[in-house]
Amino acid sequence: MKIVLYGAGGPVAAAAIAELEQHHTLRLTDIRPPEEPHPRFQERAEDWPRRPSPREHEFRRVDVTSPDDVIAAAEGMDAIINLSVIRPDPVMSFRVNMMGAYHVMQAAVTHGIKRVVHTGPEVIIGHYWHDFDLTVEAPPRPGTGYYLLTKYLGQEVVRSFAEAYDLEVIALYFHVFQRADASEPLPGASPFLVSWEDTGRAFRAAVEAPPMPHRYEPFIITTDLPHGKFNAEKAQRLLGWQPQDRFEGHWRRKPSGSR
Amino acid sequence: MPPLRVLLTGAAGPLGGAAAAALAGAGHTVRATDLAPPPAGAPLAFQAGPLTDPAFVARLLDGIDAVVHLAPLSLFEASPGELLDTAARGTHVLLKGALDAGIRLAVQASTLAIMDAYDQDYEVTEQWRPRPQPAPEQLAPYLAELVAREFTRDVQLEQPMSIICLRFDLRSVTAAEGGQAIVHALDALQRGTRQRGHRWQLYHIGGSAPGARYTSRAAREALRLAG
Repeated sequence: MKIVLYGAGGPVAAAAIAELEQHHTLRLTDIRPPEEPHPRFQERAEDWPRRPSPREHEFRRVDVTSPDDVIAAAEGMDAIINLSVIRPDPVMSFRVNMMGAYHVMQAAVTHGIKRVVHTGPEVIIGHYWHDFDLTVEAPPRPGTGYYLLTKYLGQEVVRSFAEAYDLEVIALYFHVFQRADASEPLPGASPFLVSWEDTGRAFRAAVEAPPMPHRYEPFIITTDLPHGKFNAEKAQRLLGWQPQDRFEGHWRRKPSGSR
Repeated sequence: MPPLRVLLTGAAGPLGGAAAAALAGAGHTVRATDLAPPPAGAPLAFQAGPLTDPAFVARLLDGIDAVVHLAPLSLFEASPGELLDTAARGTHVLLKGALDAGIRLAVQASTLAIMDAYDQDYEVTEQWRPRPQPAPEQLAPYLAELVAREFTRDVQLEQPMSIICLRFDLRSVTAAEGGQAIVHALDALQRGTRQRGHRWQLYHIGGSAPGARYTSRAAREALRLAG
């Protein structure tokens, strides 16, 4: 398939590209050119995903707040993956996460592209801190903070397009990414994590999956967890995605005196 | 109920003039704002400017007791994306500014068009999930609703807001009915009504015209509307 990625310069994109480039033709777009990667790529190079067999890809510089750029970049594509995101900025979070999602869906409709993979953070952690058995269908409770609220608004924009135009949107929700060999969980994080490699495989599964029961079909993307809080059973059942990296050492007791 | 100093946004829009007149008629003091003055001429205490500008909004909110936010129904921007940004971000700036200024009461306008996707024969109430079409005139007020609702229930907020959202059917509601519903909603907020305990309350205002598609028993009872 020919797939366009928006926000292809970030770490989640790197994980997706590492898997997808072995099987599909990619058009990468980002507001930054590849020769000017995000500064945090350098700072956190040790923690971020790697591409074992990198290939050259077409690149276009696209600002997702510009509808013409976004629409033009999807021409001739079979599928769209939207990874663009701005976190807590009071202005750009709305413009990238919500308005950008609107433009990406305009591009899908303009070019008759049915399969769109949307991405975002979970919006079922903070409010549900003391709850268990949470599924992806739990009503979103993003709060008033810019990042989660604007990503939630973007989800609703995408859902509206998917239902009105009979699209096949698969939404992948993430929380924590870690390298498969990370020995410690991130301090203070809720158990909802996945390795970069499993992340990449989730994108391939989302692009290649058959049509889903609903026009907008969301998934929790986490490894198998013993906590009774989150699970990715739906992704395993409908996308055929099986997490390989289990992070067992994160919740096994350490031998006394070892920490 | 004691009179309030009310900030009215979207004052140049379809309900703005009627809302200003009804609020003044009920004894409230109105400060009105919109991107530009209404064609018929600006009322007293009108200030033009964008709700996405936090400094402008802070000046608007100075000395205000309650907000009547009609702007999500009356936005005009260069592109659909810009319109959604103005609606959602403008609502966030406005309500965050209100919280910062100690204002806890707001009435917000939305559209019943977001329920039109249901079969015409259904008796659609506030308990039905909105099904907005991806047209900006539906998505803008819908996204503004979602922003406002979080300001009433975010557990991180020490004192959340109490907001009544009125979804109007502008095809069947007269301007006078719209203005009265807004005054009654403000009264309900002052009385401290809660819908099953929630600080977010939602009512459908379909108007009294024969054949109006949307009616609401909840609105009649909670807002003490006639008809």
